[in-house]
Amino acid sequence: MRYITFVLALCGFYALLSGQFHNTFLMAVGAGCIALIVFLSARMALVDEESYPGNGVILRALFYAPYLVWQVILSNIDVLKRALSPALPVAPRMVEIPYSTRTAFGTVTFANSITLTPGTVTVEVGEDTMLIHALTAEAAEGVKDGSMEAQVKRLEGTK
Amino acid sequence: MEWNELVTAAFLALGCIFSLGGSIGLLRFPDFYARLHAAGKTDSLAQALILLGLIFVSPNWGVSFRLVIITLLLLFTAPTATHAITKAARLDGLRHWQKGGSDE
Repeated sequence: MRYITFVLALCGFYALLSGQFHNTFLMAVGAGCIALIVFLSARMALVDEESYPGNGVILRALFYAPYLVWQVILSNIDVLKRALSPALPVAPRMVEIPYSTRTAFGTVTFANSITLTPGTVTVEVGEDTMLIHALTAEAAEGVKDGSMEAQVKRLEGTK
Repeated sequence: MEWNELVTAAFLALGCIFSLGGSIGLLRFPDFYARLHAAGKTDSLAQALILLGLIFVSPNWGVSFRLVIITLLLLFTAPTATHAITKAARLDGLRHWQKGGSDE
């Protein structure tokens, strides 16, 4: 099942990037390349749960993306305001927060999302806690309240 | 000017404002970690705004598609890179700046 999606994705990617539908030779070369890539990936066991978590995730990601984009915009406005404010209102701190995402994909998404949210950067990902560098106390509280973790878990499909 | 050029100009201007703000933050913030907030975050939005803005003046759909792919790639890699840099600093034992001195 994963391999079908993988092949389809590669075909679509090649077709859209090359755009040479009328050129039979280039299309044949593309098919050859895709076959080789799939063969090598299979030999290296790259197509697994970690690299491709399933079709459901792609659908749910469509709902997660707007939320994340909004967070990115908020976080940029936040940085801009702090950088331009004469008083430079920052009080950096390190906080440890627990996390409970179950899949590697979910954990990576959560860590990256924290980096993109206002005032926080993920420094270290441990066994069951993450070390966060927060610009302000409010930013640290914002991650602790768990609303983003709930969003990521919905994306994962474990909630 | 055509309407699409105006849209592109607006996107590019916004991208530049965020990029400039990030650079100012990079200079003004107190320590390495705080500076990465400024650099890492504004980067991702500024590049997205600039690349997506260019879609409105791209000559055909192939170019637009490539611009979207590049934007997505950078949106995935930017926070990962920020994390890699902070983690390297952390492993190297760099302490973070705190108001009124470090208590770590």
